[in-house]
Amino acid sequence: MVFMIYLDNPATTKRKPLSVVTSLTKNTLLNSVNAGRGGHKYSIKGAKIVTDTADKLAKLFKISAPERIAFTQNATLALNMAINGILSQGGHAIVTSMEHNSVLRPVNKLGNYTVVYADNEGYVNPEDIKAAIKDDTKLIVCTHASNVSGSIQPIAEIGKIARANGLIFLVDAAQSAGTVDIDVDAMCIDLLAFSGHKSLLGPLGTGGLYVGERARLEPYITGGTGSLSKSLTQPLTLPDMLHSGTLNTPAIAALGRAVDFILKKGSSKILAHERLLAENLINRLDSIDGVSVLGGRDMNKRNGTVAFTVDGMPSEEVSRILAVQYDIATRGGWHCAYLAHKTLGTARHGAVRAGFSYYNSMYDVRALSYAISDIVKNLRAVHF
Amino acid sequence: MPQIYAEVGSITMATRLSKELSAQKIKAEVIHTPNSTSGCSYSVKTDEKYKDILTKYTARYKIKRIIKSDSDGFYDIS
Ligand SMILES: Cc1ncc(COP(=O)(O)O)c(C=O)c1O
Repeated sequence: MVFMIYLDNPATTKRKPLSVVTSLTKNTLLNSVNAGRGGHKYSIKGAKIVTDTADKLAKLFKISAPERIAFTQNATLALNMAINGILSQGGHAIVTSMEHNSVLRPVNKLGNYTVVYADNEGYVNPEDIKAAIKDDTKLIVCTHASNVSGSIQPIAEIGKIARANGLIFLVDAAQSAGTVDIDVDAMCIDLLAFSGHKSLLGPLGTGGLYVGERARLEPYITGGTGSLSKSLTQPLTLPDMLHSGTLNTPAIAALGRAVDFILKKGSSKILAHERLLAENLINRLDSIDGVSVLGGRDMNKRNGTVAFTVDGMPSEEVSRILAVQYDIATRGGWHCAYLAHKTLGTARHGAVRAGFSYYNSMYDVRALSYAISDIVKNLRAVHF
Repeated sequence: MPQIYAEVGSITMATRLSKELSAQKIKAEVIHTPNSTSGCSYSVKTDEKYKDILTKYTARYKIKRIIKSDSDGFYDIS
């Protein structure tokens, strides 16, 4: 096995807690069961696994009604369910320029939306969101933490604006769930979409959507739920309404173990660790001529993601050299978030992104910064 | 002791209701509702003596009806 320093954590966290790996293996072996289909003990046990994981997530996100959490295969599906579910009868949406394509493409497909631009450090001004509200606005969507610059948006303030104007507030927590504090009530969040496989440290194929009381969703995907089989219309009770088709019970069980891990370690401690690494990397990169780190320097407003550019070299090429010559996995390009790059001034060449997780260490920071110094030195040697 | 079934819409509600009862040391079992009129639903089965307790949870767990089962069959007693 080739050892590689893995810094593509914003795409998915490659290393998971051992309890997650053992749970996934054990449950694949013993509980590859169809939750809530039929009355045999495996069906009932599968359903218990699903509700147990929902309970744990509810604790993490301070959700008082865990049955309002539905599991999906990733954040993209959750976001599509939320956006299409709210706007199925039409209506205007407000999104920010820091959104991922999993938000931008669904709203663009529906056609009636406004993009509120963040500043050049990647922060959205809540007043700009307020100013974009129109008579037919139904939905505000905002990513909690940017997958490019790591900027953390003022979610609670935006939530207050949404609530005061009777709008539904959807938060994309793909890059924040498990590290940045989320309190759905205090932040006036009506819909929370999250990935299970990124900072929540769960297995691939997991994600979910919390649907608050105010959000009247139309089901986006319809199908078998194991309930009300005689009816040709989708049940409207949660989570059945959003649970069409077989659930990934072993992965949901393992996600539960991941949440246990986070609750035990403390998400704020995990975030502090990631921030420490990110801050150290930023300081090192800032001292290299020709390297520019995107975003602000106030670490309280960032997570563990750091994106940067190297003058004179396309980001994909920097990332390729890091992978091939230094065994460091990063991601170059536009990260499915072109408007965020436009906002941050990197529309032309994209950027190299390194994101830290609980399992990275200062060793990884040093390795990356030395590699970048080397790449810049070699680049200069070629040019001069 | 005759058994009663609290029929709810979804397995999630049934699981949660049974957890709630188990926390009160009440023996409760999630079952696939026999003869469900809606076509596939789940119920929480427990002793008839707990009917009043079950009734308290009607709104919280969206209990649709309470069914009694004895040697004559099943009847709606909600
Ligand atoms: C901000 C943001 N939103 C949504 C997604 C989509 O997440 P998933 O891969 O779980 O569908 C990503 C993935 O990178 C993301 O970074």
